[in-house]
Amino acid sequence: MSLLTSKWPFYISGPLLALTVLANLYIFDDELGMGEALRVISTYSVDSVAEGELAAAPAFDWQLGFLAGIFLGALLTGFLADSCKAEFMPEMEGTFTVKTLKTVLGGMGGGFLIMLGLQLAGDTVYGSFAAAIQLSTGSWIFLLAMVITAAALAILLERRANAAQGKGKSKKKGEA
Amino acid sequence: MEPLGLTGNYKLAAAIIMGMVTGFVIMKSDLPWRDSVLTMLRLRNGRLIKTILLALALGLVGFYFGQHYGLVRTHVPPTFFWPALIGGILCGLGLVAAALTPAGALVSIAAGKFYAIWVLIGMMIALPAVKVVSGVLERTLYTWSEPLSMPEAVPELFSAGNPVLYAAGTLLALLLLVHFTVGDPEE
Repeated sequence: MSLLTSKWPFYISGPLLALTVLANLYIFDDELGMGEALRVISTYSVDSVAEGELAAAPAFDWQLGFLAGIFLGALLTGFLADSCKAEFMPEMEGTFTVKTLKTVLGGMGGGFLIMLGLQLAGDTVYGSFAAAIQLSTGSWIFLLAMVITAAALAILLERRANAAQGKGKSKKKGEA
Repeated sequence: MEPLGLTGNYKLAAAIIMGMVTGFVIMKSDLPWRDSVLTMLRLRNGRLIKTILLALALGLVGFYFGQHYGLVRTHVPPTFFWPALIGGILCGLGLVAAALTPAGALVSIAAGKFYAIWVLIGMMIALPAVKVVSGVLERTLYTWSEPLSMPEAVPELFSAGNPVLYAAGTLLALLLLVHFTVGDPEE
């Protein structure tokens, strides 16, 4: 049971992540990734909005099944580990309005950029991971560009936030 | 030996089961948590970095042996240099703002982190947006360079020209570096 409730160390989760990708390649003998399934859902949503009623349901193929399986697997794990806790905003500093704006705009803007990048590169992060272990040059370029950009930006933003906090504190000290 | 290569309803059933297993592993490896992703990007928590590095290294070696024994075949989409590079940069910018990947967002919602729905909505809006500009992209970004070469089968594991050996070795060296420099505050 502790397997379900505790966090896994990297030497367990790393090999298992690799093993699931390899098992998926063996079982499906197909390109892995969720891009196609997400595209189907998006087209269905756009068609439904455009028609003003629910459009004809798309065919439930294996990629949609895989996506549904991921959702079900996570749901099941959450319930078994008793870790499902409803949260509508991530933990961050600020007033309710600031938090809401950050959550909505940051989430939507970030999600838009992520999918835009993934569409240009041609696959989702999971698909790129699967292609990278197959030595796909494009996937390695994509993954390296993503990690370097994200890490550099995250560190710079944190330094800026820390510097602003430091200034605020020294101002308060000066006033006192 | 050959890959199983299921078809029809068997493939669908296997996809749901394997999806569930993948969702379970993703959730237990800390990938869907916003804080874990952000602390990883800020190089404050090495746990997730080590998980990804080890998964990549073992995946490379596992795929090599799988291919050697005929269990798996190469299935990669065609890629281009500029779209891969610009896509990676855009994705990196988005990752700092949203701190979730598509699979991570889906798993987060399943785990009750409903704020991830905004990330999924943003992703859903991007899909038709790319469709609208796909004509322009095909005439520009995808014509700036030739398609990148597809991966080739590597004959010997311990040969000097084997990229698997170099890539896996580099990833394991990075893992050791992260282990002894960044560490894991929870350990």
